[in-house]
Amino acid sequence: MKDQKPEVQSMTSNPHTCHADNPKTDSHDLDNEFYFQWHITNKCNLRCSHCYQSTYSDASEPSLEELKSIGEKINHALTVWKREGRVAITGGEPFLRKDLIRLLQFLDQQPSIDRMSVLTNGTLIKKHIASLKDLTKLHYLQLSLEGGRETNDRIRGKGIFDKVLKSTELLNKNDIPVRWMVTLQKMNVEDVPRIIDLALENNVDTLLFERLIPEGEGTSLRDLVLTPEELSNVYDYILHRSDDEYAKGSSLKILKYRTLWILTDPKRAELNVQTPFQKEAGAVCSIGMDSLCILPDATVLPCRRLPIPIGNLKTDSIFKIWYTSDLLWKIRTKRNLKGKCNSCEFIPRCSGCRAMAYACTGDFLEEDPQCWK
Amino acid sequence: MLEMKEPEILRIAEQYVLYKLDVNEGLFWLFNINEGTCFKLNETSFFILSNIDGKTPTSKILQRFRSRYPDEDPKKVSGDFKEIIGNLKRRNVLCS
Repeated sequence: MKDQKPEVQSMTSNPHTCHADNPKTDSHDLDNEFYFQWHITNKCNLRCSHCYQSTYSDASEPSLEELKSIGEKINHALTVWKREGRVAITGGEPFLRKDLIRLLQFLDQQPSIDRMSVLTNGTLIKKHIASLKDLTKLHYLQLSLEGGRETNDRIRGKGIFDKVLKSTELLNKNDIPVRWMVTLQKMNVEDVPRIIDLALENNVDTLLFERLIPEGEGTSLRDLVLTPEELSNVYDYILHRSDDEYAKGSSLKILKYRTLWILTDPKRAELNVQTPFQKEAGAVCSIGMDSLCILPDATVLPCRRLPIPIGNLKTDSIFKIWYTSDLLWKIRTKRNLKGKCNSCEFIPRCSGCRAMAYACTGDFLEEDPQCWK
Repeated sequence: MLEMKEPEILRIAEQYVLYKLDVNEGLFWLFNINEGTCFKLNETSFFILSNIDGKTPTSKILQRFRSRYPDEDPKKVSGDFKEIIGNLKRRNVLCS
């Protein structure tokens, strides 16, 4: 009985922090961060060919008061968990909501929300610049760009490339950091060198490459998903190009904190390099670890690209969703992963993209179809 | 007239959820889904809590608990059992 005495130990943090090895990735303590990606509208003024949205209807558009209520729930959860809170507001196109700035101002006042960002197509920000500048917790604006003018406009619509560059210039003039997000696929993979050139020329603070997940409007684009070999090649290029630019003194941060990046250079963390952005390559999938996605109707998803509802904040608490979702527990328990992900030595720093597995196989526990290992 | 004492029947309060994540790694949890707090359990406390179902008398659960440790001193086993039950009642995890 000596070792079997019943015990109940009160914990100050989430159980998942005891169950996975989360690498640090920049100067912020990501081990202690929690990220909410919050879609406040489905409305969008663009119709990008790879978009994951299946509807652009405003039928489920919440009122500002409803949004504030969710904002309070987010703040409360972060307070209880003692996590550093990051909230990314997006859509649809978030600037289509006339009360976006009022929502951001409200979130700016929430004590446990540490940093905010807005993920936008970059076409509607001009008249909001002064208000954005006044926000104390605005970390960056993320604009989507898919390549040079021709490639970008083929994917996102005519004239959008020029608008994104103008918005970038405007944000830079007002000292609001700009992040560009690129969705990698066959239509733009050849543009990657040009995109990095453009980011350097336009004083972009951070460049983020995501993979095309063929869901929503993107379902018909399955043929545009990169093969493992193509993805390996482009990641390898980005990694080395990133090192070259740092060596030349560039301050552009090219993020490599995603699944599969660990394969580009597994021993990178041991290198004697200057900055965390150089040092890090790879990160475990954040589902069930440190992030949630909220849709306009308050439906909660494990990730925007894994469209399986796990609750709704109109009826469920964040805690209930986080602690009782079977899907989250299945993904947290890494030995549930199938195929080569199951036996991979990089599970603590990768675990594959669960959304990509689901989109391609219908099973979110399957191996990552783009893994080249 | 002799007064008969009702057998104590406990249940886990509604806001608590018991979770067994991994037996091999000893990961047992009790979550408060209203307040967000969580408790890490060992296998023994998980066994006791998972037997508390709002129907079974506490005395019957104690019998099951004792039978898990036939080689242990019954007084010690009972003492540990009562201690954890009292602890969880004080925290309002268990109620009648």
